[in-house]
Amino acid sequence: MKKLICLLLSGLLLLGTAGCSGNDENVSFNVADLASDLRDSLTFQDNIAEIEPEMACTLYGIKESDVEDTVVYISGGATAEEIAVVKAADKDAAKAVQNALEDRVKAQEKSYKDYNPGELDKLGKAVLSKAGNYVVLCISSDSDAAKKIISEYIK
Amino acid sequence: MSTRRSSGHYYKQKSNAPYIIVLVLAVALLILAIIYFFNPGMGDQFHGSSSIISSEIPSSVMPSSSEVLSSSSTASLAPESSSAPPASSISVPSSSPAATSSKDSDAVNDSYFNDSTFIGNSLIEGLVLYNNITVPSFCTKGMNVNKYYTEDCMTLSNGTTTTISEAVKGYDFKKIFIMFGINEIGWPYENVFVEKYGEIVDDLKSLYPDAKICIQSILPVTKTKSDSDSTFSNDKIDHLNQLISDMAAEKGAIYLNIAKSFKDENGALFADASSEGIHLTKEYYIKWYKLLAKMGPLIDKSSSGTIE
Repeated sequence: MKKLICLLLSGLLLLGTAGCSGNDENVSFNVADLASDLRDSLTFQDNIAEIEPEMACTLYGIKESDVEDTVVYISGGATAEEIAVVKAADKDAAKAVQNALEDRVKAQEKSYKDYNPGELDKLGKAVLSKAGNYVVLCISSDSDAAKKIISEYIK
Repeated sequence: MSTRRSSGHYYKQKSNAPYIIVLVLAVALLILAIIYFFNPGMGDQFHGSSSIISSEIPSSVMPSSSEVLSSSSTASLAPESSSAPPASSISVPSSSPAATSSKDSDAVNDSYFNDSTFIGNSLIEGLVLYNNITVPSFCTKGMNVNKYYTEDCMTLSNGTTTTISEAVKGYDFKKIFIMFGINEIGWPYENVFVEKYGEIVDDLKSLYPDAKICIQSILPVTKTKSDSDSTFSNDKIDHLNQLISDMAAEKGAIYLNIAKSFKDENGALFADASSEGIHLTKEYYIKWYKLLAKMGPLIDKSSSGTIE
């Protein structure tokens, strides 16, 4: 009986560990597809438009060598609405990109606090996801819808 | 623990309770793992302020010779009459020099701006970002002629922050494109705005005596915005632009009347140029850049005067 319990415990623990390690190693998608999906599916108050990858790296303080591919849509200044989909070069780069996008949200919150406080709600609900080497930031008025769209790509 | 008696001996029967407890914990762990497995985004997804790790806010990227600076500020686009400097009087010439018109055929290419910088507010920021302007630039949301000297919104390479007035030092700019005004439009004393603007021009001329200082007019707002907002009225903008033009003439700077190219038949910003009446769409930020390129040859030939 004890041997059976031990065997069962070992098996369950192994399964649990495997589950917790996540399954994002195999995540793979086209960054432009997700970016345009978010842009087209969500309702944005502003006319967010694409900026060059080089400019996006400068904007976020990201090394260009850390980015394999990226599509970024930003506002012309009227709102904090933004979409950034990044495929980083590797795991370490993905972490750096994630940190940079976290900083971006914080910086925007500081900026819009007096500049346009109405945007703070969107910033407070900013969706930032990382799966494998992919990092996605979406600042919009519908974070639930954004999360749902993103989850379809990173599952 | 239970005990059993067998053949006169008493002994304690070992309990399976610890094993059962561990089994329950393992099952719970497995359930959690299953939930996580079918919701892969959960672990790495968070919402803004509730999950963001608190840290120093890197408000901007310090410009290098190949970088663009774009930073955050805590200024407001709305009128900040409470933060306006005390009133003072200045004297400016009452008339502006005749304008020189630029031509499409003379437009310069991107390399023309390699020795340039762009300084100002969120409109300059949009110009820089949408046109991939990679030269060092100094622009923030809500920037005004007062905060140019007072707000630590620029991050240096060593991680410290400083003002634009300090951050612009140490380069070799030959052309400096400036835009202020939309964030000061609500100031109660317009002459204070013009005087502070003039101080900035003086300081830039001192730093870069060989550079062309190009002061850009305030862009118009849409008719909808102008009609609905007493602060952001095109009549007020036109009036301030006249004062700016006069100041440029007094300081020996070039006045770029870009506003003229953005006005419709009502003297307002084209309706399709902005979603909220003030900031431009990408299309119009690109048009602005092309307009500056068109003005390039005339800028090269001028040290002062109006170009449109």
